[in-house]
Amino acid sequence: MKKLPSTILPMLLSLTCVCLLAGTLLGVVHYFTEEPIAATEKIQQEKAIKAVLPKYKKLETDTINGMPRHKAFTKSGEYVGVAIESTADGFGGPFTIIVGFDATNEICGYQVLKHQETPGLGSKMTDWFVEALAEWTPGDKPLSVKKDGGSVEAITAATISSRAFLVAVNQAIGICIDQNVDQTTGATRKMKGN
Amino acid sequence: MNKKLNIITNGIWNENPTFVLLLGMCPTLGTTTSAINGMGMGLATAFVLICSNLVISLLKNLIPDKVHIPAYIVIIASFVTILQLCMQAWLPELNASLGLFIPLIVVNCIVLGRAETFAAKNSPFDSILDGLGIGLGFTLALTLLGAVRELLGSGRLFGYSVFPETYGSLIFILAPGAFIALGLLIAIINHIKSNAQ
Repeated sequence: MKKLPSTILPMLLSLTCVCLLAGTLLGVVHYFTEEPIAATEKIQQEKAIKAVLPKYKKLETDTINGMPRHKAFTKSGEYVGVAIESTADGFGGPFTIIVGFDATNEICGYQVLKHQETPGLGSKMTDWFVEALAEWTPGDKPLSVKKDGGSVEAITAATISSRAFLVAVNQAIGICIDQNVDQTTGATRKMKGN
Repeated sequence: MNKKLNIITNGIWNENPTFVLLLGMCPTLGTTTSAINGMGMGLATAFVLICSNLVISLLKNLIPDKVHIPAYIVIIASFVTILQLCMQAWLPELNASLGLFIPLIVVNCIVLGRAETFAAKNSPFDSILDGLGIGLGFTLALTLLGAVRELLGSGRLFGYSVFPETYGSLIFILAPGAFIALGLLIAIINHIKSNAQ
């Protein structure tokens, strides 16, 4: 078959057909991957909550300031803590972490849900801040990196990711402390500073 | 038969996209921080190359010359999006480490380059073989570069510790190290080639 000439009608038809075909194909693939993608995200979210609050059996989820908050309870209804999803702008766009607080509002772990930080640098945040966060207790000042006068060692060559990570953690702390009524005294706790 | 085999080996050695043609430098330098990342990126690009080469070769007479670039880009972008959706659905871990670079395959000049120089002039079967050869060449090159950088930068290979991380030099994980490692690898390959002649 001879090649179609570069006149207006064949060009128009050919481009339209290519785009239609591509659109149809993408629609079909989207149809088949939509459920697995949603399922994968749900599994990752549950895994993350499980990792920070291993004892939970039941969740109560609500949203505060646009951030999902999962209150966790044991089977008998005992409060074990809260997991807060917090989003901040990193080096490669927004990323989402889940921070877990135990029943006394101390941080008991965190998980990175999704991020686009530089592989090998900013992506180290998935396990870089474990120690720094373990040292934090309610009533401490907001977390910041050493460069900004804080106490947390930033990831080498990824200060922007480190700062953003701490912003996300501080947001989560803010929500946990401000919204969580102390389980024993019934008083709300506030952070010092800021 | 020999001629068909030549198309494949041509892509892997004589016209290796990374070491000889020096095409697609952005993903080459960006994703090769470790051997696994390099391999994942190479295989992803190979998939897009084979699919787009096949479709473009089949449609080559139906696409007029003046609109061939937009038509090719639409075809390539569709396969990249399909790849990304499938990775999100079934390979979430690989997607997490390569996610940022997958959409960039659309503008990878290797893919468009092979569509222009090979698929638009050859039969569909030959085009698949060319995509396979170039894709394998790209995968091997990226895996090798990733392995060198991972070893020198962090003392590990495919995630397994070879020597303590303190002896690694961070520069090889960073972008300047990518240029240095790539330059040295090209020098070694050129040396082997000139010796073979």
